[in-house]
Amino acid sequence: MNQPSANILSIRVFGSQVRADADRMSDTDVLVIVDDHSGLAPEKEVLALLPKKYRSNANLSWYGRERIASMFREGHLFAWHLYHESVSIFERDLFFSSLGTPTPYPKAIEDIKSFIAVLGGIAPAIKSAPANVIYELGLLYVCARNIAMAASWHLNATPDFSRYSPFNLPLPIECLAFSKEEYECCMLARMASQRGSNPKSMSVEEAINLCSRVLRWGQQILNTIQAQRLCA
Amino acid sequence: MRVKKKPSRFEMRVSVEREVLSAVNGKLGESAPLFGMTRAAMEQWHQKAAKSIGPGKAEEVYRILLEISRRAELLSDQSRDVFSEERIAPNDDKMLALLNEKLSSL
Repeated sequence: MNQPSANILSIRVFGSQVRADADRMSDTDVLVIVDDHSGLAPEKEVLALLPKKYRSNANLSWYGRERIASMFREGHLFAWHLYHESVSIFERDLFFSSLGTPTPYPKAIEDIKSFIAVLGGIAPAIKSAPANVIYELGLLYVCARNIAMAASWHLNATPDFSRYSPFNLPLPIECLAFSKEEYECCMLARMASQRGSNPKSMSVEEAINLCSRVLRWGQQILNTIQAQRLCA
Repeated sequence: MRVKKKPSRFEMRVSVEREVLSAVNGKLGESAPLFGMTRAAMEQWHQKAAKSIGPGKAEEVYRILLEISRRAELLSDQSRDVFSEERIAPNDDKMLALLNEKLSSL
């Protein structure tokens, strides 16, 4: 195997490819950890180390040694994502293993509140700029998925980072205020915003209605976790 | 006194993107809507805009968009950004003025 540049400490594939729920819409998330203040390494060097099937749709995320270490120390949700759902492509001196287990995720409620705040701004943004509806629906998807990922820390047996995390929360069915079809429409909108693919259309009225339902759902999840913590 | 929480990188990104998308889509939302500020989204817009307003004008607007996105570091699709607390640069007023000027001349 070719040795990558000396500043590369770790290369890992994470996300849907590791969960084995990748589909034609999935890219390959690749984490590259480099030494602090050493700059990036040539992208083709990283790609050359990946199995061939991942090379054409690889999405590289570059992190410095200290940033990743601090995310593990602080119990960042992304550190847990890497801990649970990443596989090694290259490691220098067992760097990733040396990070150990992340601190328990302390900020679920804070993060959920932050996404609820973003959710609350989506309907007004659509009203003031209706032509941005696809972009805003993409944000709706990000908020719903991330609220569910953060909530899964408290509500599920193990944290759930999957694309359909809102549908895997152990809540009464009536709490889920949106359908899979509506959620997938928002997911396609996000892909259009990020990857330039074609979205599925939704009327402004439907989008505004969906926003209010997702917002209510987010608030219910927050209330459930807060009530659960009060009882604990 | 209640201290206002600093916006996350995600919130800042949303604010920057909304400002630019509103300008572009306010003018071209019917024929060539812009869906995002990543390189891939802007390249897709570039192709649609070339058919709608002509390749020369589309290229001029595309270059300004690319520069705005480059300055705010929005070009890549970093889905992990949603939990990041790192800062991003706000929109450059001069670049936005240039974009609006170019759009109003269409």
